[in-house]
Amino acid sequence: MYSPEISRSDPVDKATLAMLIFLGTEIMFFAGLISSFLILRAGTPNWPPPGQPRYPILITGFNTLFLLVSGATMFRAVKAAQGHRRKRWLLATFGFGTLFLGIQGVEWVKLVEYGMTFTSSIYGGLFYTLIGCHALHLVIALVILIFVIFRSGFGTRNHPLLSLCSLYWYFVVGIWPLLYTLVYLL
Amino acid sequence: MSITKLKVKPHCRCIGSVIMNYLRFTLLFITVLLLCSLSPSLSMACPNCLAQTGEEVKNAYYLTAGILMFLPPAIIVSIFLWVKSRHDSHG
Repeated sequence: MYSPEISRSDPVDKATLAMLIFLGTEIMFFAGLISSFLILRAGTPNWPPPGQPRYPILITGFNTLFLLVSGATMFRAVKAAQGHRRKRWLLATFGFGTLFLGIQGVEWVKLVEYGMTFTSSIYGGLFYTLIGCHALHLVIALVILIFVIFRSGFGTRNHPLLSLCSLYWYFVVGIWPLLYTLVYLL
Repeated sequence: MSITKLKVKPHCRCIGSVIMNYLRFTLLFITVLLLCSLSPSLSMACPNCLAQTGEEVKNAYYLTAGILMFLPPAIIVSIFLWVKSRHDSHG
């Protein structure tokens, strides 16, 4: 069982190292998806295809700000010395993350109503695969965050689970601007 | 008898270093061979990407093949450098 106590003689926490290696595999996972997106998009003469709805660029742009703010609040939570202040920052992170996910969900419902489904075209298929995978990662991050809030939000020092959760959260936040630029803007 | 008390003869150490050098050379050779095999020019057999006409698809394919080839070593080297810097700062 993983012990939260870190040995003083060990300069690198093994759990952190494992998380970094895991994030490396996650980067490769998204790199594969982005690669397939770029190749399939390059092979489609008309992009976006005619008859398909356009992506909500402006709303998603504002939504991106919420996610970036959640990254900042997570950073403050890790840096916060006192337990109650940290818990406040963690709750703010959870709130902004949920807000981002909620707005994304509303957008998706509208797109489905306009006729863009997973199987309607390659345009829809790529969108739901890429953005859906990111949303799934955010859902997992939120579940871990709830666990961390209940487990370590009241302590007086940083719990290892919090630092691991923050690494994962930074990854989810950090990959989004790239996805937004590739899928929505280009 | 304790293992630490065993005395290693000088010629044994010499043989050991020769074997170690041979293993290092073999490892280096295999690494170079593997890196050569990862060259994108040799992986042109992808039918979905290259059977399509158009320079854009081919360019996208070359770009993504390059990125996917470069990323794993970059990630591994980054993690290695981070661990090394932590060890160095720890003393």
